[in-house]
Amino acid sequence: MLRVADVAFAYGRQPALRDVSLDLAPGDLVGILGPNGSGKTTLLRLIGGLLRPSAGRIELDGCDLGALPRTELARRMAIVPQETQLAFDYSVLEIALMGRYPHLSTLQVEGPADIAIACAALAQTGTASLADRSFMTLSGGEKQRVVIASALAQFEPPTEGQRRDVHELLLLDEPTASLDLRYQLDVAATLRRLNAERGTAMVVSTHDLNFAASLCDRVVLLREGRILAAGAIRDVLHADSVRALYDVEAVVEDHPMVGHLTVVPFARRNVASSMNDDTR
Amino acid sequence: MTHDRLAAGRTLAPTAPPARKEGVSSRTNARWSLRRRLAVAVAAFGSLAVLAIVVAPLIGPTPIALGRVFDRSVPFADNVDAQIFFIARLPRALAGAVVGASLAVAGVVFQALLRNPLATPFTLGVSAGASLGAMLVITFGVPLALGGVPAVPIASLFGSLGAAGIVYAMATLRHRGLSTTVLLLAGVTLNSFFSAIIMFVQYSGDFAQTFQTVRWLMGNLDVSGFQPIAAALPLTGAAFVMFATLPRALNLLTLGGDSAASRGVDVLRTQRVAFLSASLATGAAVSLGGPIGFIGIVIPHLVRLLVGADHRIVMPASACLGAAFLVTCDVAARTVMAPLELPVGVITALTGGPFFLWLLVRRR
Repeated sequence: MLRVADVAFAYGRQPALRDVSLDLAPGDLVGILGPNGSGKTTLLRLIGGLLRPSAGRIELDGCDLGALPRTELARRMAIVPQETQLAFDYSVLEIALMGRYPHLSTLQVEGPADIAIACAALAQTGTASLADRSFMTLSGGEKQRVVIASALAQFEPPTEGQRRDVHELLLLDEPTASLDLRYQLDVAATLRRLNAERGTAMVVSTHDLNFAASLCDRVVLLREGRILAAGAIRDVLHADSVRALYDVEAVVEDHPMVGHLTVVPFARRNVASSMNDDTR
Repeated sequence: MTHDRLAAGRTLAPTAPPARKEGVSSRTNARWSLRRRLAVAVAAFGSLAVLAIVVAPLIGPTPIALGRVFDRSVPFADNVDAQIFFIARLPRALAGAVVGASLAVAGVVFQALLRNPLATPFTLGVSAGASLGAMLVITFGVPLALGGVPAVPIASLFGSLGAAGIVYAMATLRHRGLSTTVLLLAGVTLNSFFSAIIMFVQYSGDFAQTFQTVRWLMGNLDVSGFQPIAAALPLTGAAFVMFATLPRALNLLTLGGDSAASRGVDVLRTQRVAFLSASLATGAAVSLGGPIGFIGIVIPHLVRLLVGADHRIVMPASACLGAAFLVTCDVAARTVMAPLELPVGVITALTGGPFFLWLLVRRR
């Protein structure tokens, strides 16, 4: 459904991404991993249509991203930022209803169908009981799940039983970076369930390797704006790639209790060898 | 797949069974109904505004009675009460309503645009530009009258729109899109810069002119006849037509630019329309009544406390309450120390300030 082909981007004269390619099928869960400043957020903003690539193409369902009207784009794709700070306080239901924006004309008011969709999205993220609460009083994890519900409300609702033809894509930028462990697990579980129940495709940028390993089928490793490696997580994520990505030594292994790859970093890469590396 | 196995084994937050979900959504539906909330808010605040506009002209040094004002058996030429009501006092009440509504909604729009609850219609230099224009005309006596409208309102309108233009140019010059940070910084800087010019000219001007300028800066609704209102109305009307397209997009802007854009909002266009309409409304209001402070910040917050944050309700409700509040304050300004008249800006701040503080404290 999504095709990123040889994309490059620069902020002014500062190059941020080069030769990035990525393919996504409906229902795929892809992680973009990399250190701070590696271009993860830039790539996500490009895919989300918030930035235009300076070279290459991004296509959604065969259409060039720049050619799609923004409301059409918003019905197929939604962005969840790392954190949402409100300037004014809205109720949780109001936040969820904001997802219906691309479906309504300027002066149109949300009808019962929109409210039902917003409530269903809240239920799917486990936040239906918060509907009347003020958003500002929620915990970080609750806020993040409500924002995910608001993003889900942008899509056509899933029909009971049969699998839909309409594809939906969720772009998540460091969704757990500002959450504590408990809420990280909450959000990860919510995302996994949405993927299983609705077939929502997701691109998740993160520097938390364990979070990515718990969630993603495939990963793209990004360093200094270039793809270091890409593929199934078990092929790509290992001690060597972690060293190349972050300059740290780490143990990468299957944990018997956890059920997915785990990464335990234990040391900065040997300074002498990294200096050799630089002079090479 | 591994995570599927895991997801199946983990207890997730329980989802309500379909039957109950149905019940929740219809209940929420009834409670939420935007149309009903809008109707209630507009009916309540609107009747306050109408009441204020009708009652205000009845109060004054010559007592008149509402019954005789609308007495059709006496011809208008002989009906002194009706003449006082319609010719001498109603224009002033209507001017207060227009200015109050404009400043209140402009405050709402600037707060949403800048994502800053402390923003006022005057934050971005609009009032300083207006004051500079007015003062220049008062001090140097430029004969600028246009089609019967005196020079001071025209100069203040041009001043305010000039200031808005400078700030807007600054914020778009070196940025992709509109930088609200630059908007804010340029506005605040322009405010101080223009104030410095005003002080300099005042310092070197003579006493009579300085006094006139200071009185203008305090805000004053001493409008005679409908002509000044008619002159301001096209601008105010254009601003309100633009306001009508904004509420839902402004709701989404408070989530942040990226979130709004990813939900299909044309962020740049929304920001442009918001800036243009709010500047226009403020400029027109200031040219009519001078820079009357406080309405643009206290009314929006008061309304949000009462009806929530949805701009589709906040904007019309603020317009009505702003009108009612300023008309009422103007009555107080005319009567409290009669026959002396206080500047209405003093009344708005003296009464609104403590009330707003009390509201803030009570809510916590």
